[in-house]
Amino acid sequence: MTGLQVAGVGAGYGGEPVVRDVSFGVEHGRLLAVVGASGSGKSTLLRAIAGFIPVSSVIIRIGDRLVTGPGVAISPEHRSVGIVTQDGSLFPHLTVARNVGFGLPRRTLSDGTPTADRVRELLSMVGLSDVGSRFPHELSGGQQQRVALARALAPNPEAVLLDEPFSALDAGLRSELGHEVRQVLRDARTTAMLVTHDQDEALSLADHVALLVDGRIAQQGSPRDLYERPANLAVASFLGEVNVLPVLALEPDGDPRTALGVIPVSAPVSAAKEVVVRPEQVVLTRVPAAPSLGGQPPAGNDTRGRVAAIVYFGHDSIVDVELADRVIVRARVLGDSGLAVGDEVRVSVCGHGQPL
Amino acid sequence: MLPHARLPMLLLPAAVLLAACSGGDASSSANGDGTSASSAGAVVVYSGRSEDLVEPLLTKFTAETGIPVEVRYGDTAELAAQLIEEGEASPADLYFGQDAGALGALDAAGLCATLPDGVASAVPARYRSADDTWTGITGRARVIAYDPRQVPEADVPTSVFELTDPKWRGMVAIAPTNGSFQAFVTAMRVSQGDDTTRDWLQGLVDNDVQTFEKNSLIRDAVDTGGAALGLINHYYWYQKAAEIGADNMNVQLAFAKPGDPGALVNIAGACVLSPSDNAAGAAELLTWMLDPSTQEWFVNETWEYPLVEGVAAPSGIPPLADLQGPDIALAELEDLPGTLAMLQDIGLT
Amino acid sequence: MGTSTSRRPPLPLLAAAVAAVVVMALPLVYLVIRVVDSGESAWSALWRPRTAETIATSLLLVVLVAVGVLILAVPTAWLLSRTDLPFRRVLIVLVALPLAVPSYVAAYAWIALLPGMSGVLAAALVMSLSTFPYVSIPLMAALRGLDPGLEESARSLGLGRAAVARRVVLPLMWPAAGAGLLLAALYTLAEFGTVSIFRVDAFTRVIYASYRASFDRTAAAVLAVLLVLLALALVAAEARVRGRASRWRTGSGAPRPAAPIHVRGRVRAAGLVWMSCVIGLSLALPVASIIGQLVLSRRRAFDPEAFLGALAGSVSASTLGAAVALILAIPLGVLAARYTGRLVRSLEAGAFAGHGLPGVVIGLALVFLTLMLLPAAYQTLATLAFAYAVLFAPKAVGATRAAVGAAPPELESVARSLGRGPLGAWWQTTGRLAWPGIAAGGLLVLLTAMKELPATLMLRPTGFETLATRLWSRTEVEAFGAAAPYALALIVLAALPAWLMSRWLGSPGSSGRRSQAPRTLDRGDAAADGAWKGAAMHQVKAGPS
Repeated sequence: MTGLQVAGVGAGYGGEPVVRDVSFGVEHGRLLAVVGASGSGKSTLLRAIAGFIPVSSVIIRIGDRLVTGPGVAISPEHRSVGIVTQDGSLFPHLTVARNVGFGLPRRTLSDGTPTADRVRELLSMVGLSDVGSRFPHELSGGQQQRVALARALAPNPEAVLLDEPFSALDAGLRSELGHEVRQVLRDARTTAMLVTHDQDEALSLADHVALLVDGRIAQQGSPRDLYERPANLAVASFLGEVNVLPVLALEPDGDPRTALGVIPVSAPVSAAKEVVVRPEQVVLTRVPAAPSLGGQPPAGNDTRGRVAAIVYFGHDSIVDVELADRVIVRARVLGDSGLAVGDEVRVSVCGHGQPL
Repeated sequence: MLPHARLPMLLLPAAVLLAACSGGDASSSANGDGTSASSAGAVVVYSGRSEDLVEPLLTKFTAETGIPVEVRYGDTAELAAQLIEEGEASPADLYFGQDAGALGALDAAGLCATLPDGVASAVPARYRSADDTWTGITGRARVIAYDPRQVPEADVPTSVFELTDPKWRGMVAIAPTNGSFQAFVTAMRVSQGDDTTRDWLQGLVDNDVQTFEKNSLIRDAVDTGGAALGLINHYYWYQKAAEIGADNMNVQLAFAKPGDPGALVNIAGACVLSPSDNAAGAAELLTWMLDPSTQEWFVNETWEYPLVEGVAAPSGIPPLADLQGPDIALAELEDLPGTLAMLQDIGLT
Repeated sequence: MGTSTSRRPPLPLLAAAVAAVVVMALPLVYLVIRVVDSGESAWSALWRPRTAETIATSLLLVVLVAVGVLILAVPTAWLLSRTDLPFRRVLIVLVALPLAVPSYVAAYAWIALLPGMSGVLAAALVMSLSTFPYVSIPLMAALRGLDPGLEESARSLGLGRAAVARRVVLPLMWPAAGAGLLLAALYTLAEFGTVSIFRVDAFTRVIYASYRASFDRTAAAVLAVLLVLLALALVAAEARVRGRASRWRTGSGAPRPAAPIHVRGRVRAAGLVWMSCVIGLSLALPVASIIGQLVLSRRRAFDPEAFLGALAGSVSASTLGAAVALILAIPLGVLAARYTGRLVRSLEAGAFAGHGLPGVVIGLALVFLTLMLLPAAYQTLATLAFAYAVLFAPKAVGATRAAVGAAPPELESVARSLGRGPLGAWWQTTGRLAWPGIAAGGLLVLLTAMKELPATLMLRPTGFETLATRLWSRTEVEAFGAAAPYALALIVLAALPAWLMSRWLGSPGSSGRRSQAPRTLDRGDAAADGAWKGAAMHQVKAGPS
């Protein structure tokens, strides 16, 4: 069953459309992340789906209902779409409980349960059972976002749209809250679309990812698809660091020879193209200062370089290695690399490279 | 944002410049001496009468006598209140007001200086104060304004006492907070007694009398038909006629019969102020205003009655002698507080 | 708002604010002196049934005017700040101009049109038309500054446009509307011209009767004390509404401007009709009446020299008055915006206490006080400007408070950390952001001062004329034709301050900001940049091949 489907969406504010020909679908209960840099048009897309922006083109379905289409343009309040904005947009003049219950009938729901019960249920779902009588300005940023989510879920919408909901929060809080929100959405079995510029969020929270570049979808698929098999350089470089290696020659078995030697590839590559290797695929081994006597000649793929820079992050380190001809390759090493600037290292590639 | 800052920043020095210019044109009262706001020998006048009237008059005075005059215009009563507030520190030399009540109040506050002998002797005793502290300059008759479309000329009452008749229910207009009405009521009290006056006032209220703030509003109401009869001063008619022309007016004037309180002649008058430091100049101005040629000028400009012997009254209205309202001296109208108390009791103010 | 309740205000600021309040409350000193002087008769004036009746009438008038002002201001503000109604920029200026029309001019205009017009409803109508800009101007600023995320969230929760306006937007507009309503209410209490022309038995009539008829200043002073108490009650009410609302600000930083709502067809036509009616009744009608009287009049003599002198007088006195008013209002506004507490609230109340008094009381108060304290300054331009400041500074306090309150105090801290002294830090951060709003308050004072009459008549240098005094002297003798140029000049002269005011009365940062629809609504650019830097691209260049 489709949770959310858009086809051929172009949207903008009069004049040039900001997004063009965007098509994707999300299954019911799944979370789609729309990723892109600032200015790529993702918030515009979100607002178009929510119904706040006129769309110049074809189809938007929410649940099984056509909300935008030829001759159909349902207003936002009837679309059954909840939104969570970047700063939550809680109504400052209402208590938390009144905020959460805003989209519900005042006293009792249509099935007879008291509204207050549902509000309590939602608040406990987001882990905020005891703040019902407080005002939004008394809560922290993370708490406000959780209330905003509870509020959006209260009327059981067909879909929830989240517009960069975590970008205003601290880094640590961001990932923790992100996973909590994901869990809440999963428990509620609500389709969700998350708009973000943060690749970590997109990859870790989503079931399906669409990358927007300049208003168009550059690639969509599972997180693994996008990360491990990027369609082009833009996709590859947005979702993580990349080493772009031009193909120097093709080996007889079809594997390309690059500055890092011969690399197996996941798909056929032609001679004039490039191969992408992620930093975590680059393996560095320190070469002892004095070569061993009777040392072995270098193996076939034995590329050497000198450590040019190291950045230590605690959980990993980024090491830039300078190869012959001033070519720089970036490697990611778990924990402390044990290397120092100036060390000579042997560089090899683990796993497959991605042809572009 | 900064470019927009330039505009107000320019305004401020411009304002100071303008102030310097306009302040310079005005009297030299901006000099440092607080008790005398006049340049050499100028007479400072506080005038409750309008600039339209007084300005040409005083220009003539200065031309004839060479004495400069500086005038401050305001409302008769508010100026009097201001003078009382200023007290001995007042910069004013002469007060020129629209009714006897204000002059009486100034006198009661001890602000009126005795007029020099002979200054006011040209004015009949009934039109000046008993102790020669203030004098009337011109006379103004109380009249009954009527709307000929509602009240044929023959049916217009000739006595104010007729106004309580039920046939005039809701059609009569008065201005109970106005000084001229209050002077008129005071005159009625003095000549007819408090009880009669109170009954009459009550009768008006019972007869749904309409109240207005000013005589001009009464006149306008009668002109448009909102009221049929109104008690005002006679020159208000002439004032409107000068503005839009007599042919464009409906309202007409009727005078009460002689001896009736409604035929009261009140005055616009002046006094020399005791805090003045130019009493001589002020006295000269006052004398000049009582000069026959000046009195004639008043007659022509405002249709008010001259108070000095030998000057012809305005044409078209009954001569002053025929209008002697209640036989009282205006000075006796000083019991304004009593009148006010009565009006308040009745609920008219 | 940027309020820090835990800190105590710095002493210089507090001292400046206290000094300002003392100055603004000087007329109260006069009242106290007179009241102490008064005898039995003065106090008996308080207990008369008529006093109670007139107070009741005045309060009824206040309520009616409040309702009328809201009816006029709310749709107007919404149309002009949230939609794309055509001619918006012109309309915004026109909608501020009724502030320039003196009340008695408007009242005369209506009476000329409808001679039988009188009574409480008539007075309330005319006074609402005169004072609705006090509410519509700040309301427009508040609407422009509203976070559109609130409305979008509400709509996504199932509310239609009307319900969103009712349940989300309007409740958040109360603080802005409340400050304007306070000014309108105090104006209604103190006003005399309209109520006298329409023959409404309001309380000011009793006070004026006391001055004009009996010259009894003590009775008038006792009655005026009542007005002070009423004014304080209104101020307290407004402070409560505003106090609750000041905690409502959530979210991080400046909201983006909302996209204007497109209005087409019938809605647009209705909007234009509404604006035409409002401007027609509040502005076009008095102007037309003035011109009509000019045409009918036989006395049309126009003296250019007198006119220019009056023009110069109006501009100079009002500008100086506005400048002094700002000097008084700024410390108070800053104090009220940044600090709370009982002392601050009392100071604010003290500033407004005398704002409900009629001009004649203030005039006499200043006559008395000037002669007592500084006789050399009596009847000079300086005293007149000072009188305007005392009369109208409260108008600037509200605007200053709002402008300063909207500038984040953190900016001052940052400036201090970068090496500025306290005053310099304030001036270069909050001062820069807030000055349009503060200047707009000054312009409001200027507009009102230009049409002031009773205090001007008493305190001006002899021979000094303003447009208002010339206008008055003509209307006193009903030379309406000769009065017309002065009345028209007042309105035209007000256009520039009104235009400037409408540009500057926005939240800082949004002043001058056009509410165009942004191309993309993506925010969090700073955060995005960080993430972007993390995803650095490594182009491994080919070696020489």
